[in-house]
Amino acid sequence: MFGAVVAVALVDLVPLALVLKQAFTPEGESVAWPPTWVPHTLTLENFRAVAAAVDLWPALARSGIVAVLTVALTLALVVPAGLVARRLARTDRALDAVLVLTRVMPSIALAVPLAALFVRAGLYNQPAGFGLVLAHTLTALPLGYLVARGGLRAVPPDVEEAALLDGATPARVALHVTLPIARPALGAAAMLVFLLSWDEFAYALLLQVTNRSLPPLLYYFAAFGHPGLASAVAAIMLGPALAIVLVLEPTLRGGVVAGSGR
Amino acid sequence: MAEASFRGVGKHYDGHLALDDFTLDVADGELVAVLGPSGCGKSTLLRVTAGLERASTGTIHVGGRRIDDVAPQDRDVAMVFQSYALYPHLTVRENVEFPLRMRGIARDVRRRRAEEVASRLEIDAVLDRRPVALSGGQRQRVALARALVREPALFLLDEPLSNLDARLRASVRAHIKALQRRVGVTTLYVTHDQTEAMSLGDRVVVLAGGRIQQVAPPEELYAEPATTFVASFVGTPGMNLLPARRMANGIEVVAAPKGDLVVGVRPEAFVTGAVDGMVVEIDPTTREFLGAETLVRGRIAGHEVQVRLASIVGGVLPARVVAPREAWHLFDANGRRI
Repeated sequence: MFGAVVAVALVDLVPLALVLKQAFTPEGESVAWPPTWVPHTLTLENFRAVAAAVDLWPALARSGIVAVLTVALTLALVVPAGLVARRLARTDRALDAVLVLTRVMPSIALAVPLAALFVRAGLYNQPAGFGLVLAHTLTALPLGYLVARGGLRAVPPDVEEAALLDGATPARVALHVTLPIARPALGAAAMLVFLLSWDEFAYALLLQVTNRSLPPLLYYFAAFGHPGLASAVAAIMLGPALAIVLVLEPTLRGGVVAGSGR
Repeated sequence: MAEASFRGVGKHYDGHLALDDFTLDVADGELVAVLGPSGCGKSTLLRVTAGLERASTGTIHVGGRRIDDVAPQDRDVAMVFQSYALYPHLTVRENVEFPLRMRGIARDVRRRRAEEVASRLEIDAVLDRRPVALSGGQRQRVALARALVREPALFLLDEPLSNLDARLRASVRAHIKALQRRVGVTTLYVTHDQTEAMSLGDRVVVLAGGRIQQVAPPEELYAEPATTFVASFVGTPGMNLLPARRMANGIEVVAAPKGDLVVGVRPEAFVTGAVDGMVVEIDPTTREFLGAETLVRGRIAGHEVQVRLASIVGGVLPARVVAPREAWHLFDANGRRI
């Protein structure tokens, strides 16, 4: 049984380790056969080459801005929607159906009409990536909604009613009672949506032709035969992704509902 | 502190009547127990009074102010939920302070009043804990403290003892009674347990099928039940109800399932010895020893009857017992007291 745990962990971690090794070793070593498991020489030359070849920092900043704004916009939409729909069976089902519809087509198919729309609206290739934020929000809504609604629905109705009788207006009930109790689910939604935006490739490639974010850069280096440079970009992408997981992980601890009753 | 008055309050859901024409005046500081089986409309009454649901008909006034069309947060009505409904993400102190905080009361006043009510309810030692770290009895007292801290005009309790174990229940019951007396808050106490209703209520309202059966002080409810429902619901066990017919020489219990009237006899009203009245044959094999008393079943005209006798240690059960005529309660065919 424990072997299975080790196997799962290895399947997950070996590619990650290879990417990091490639990022910090000379390109020649990364294609050597048999592979060198322990790097012979450690170097930052791949990172220097990436920085020299492209606008790395603006791309990093753009990826970050897009991911943070996507999280903010998605939560701003799914939290009120979830608050309303969670206990109205019919509204809830209708919203579910609509949200699933946006996921039946590949994003590449949606990117073309979106690009046309964004050109008119001045959002195409927008320097801060505002168009990309909208596209990512569209993609993230179903996931964000399902996770957030699950948490909002688990808040005991009588605790909210108690707050109402304790003199809270409905808005303050949401702010002081419902949202804090649903915090683990909202944290999970924020984390998943951040990672979805951070890693998203198709819209990023098609909607930001010159003002690029990180994933298309990675693609270009890999496609043009620079595995070391591609790995360096991947290593750079890993940092903020890990950081967001570590920052939000404590809020995901459950058990917040426990203790309200009997 | 205020009197409450209900006039023709009703609530129906899609044609189903949950509460019908509820009319009651509750005096300032009075504790009225609302008693009934599940589904009798007692929870609906609380929810409508609290404003969690709108009444379909009727009006509610508290302290002279009409509240049935006021939002729940503005009604000045506090409620202790059956589930306690504590805020799990807040400490006990924050839970108790919450109603004051929502009313914009200054931090130091809040703190003082929360500590006062906490010490009165003996939860001052756990003020900085979260509800999850409390025992059932402590959670119950936190729920009481949260409801009492703002001195509401009307205090609603929804089966507050039902989640406590039997031993704790008696002590908390006494505690609630003493607390309500001291604070002097007008209270509606909803329960399905007649012992609770009888021991706590200044008056008891018996509800069945959404309708008031009787409103009376506990003693009167026991001594003069207005309907057969009240007669059978109040008492442990409830009153024996037997179909009877009026004969030339008096009233006689009949074997038929329906007579033209109903005779009620409390299980504890039977006596031994040579007296006139309803004679019941005892079945000694059904004997249940309860301590000071013994419960047995007897028979009359084919009907089973519960009989409660004082226990005689080592004694033999009498072969028959008698319910004297003055211990009979008479009800008409519709179950109303005659």
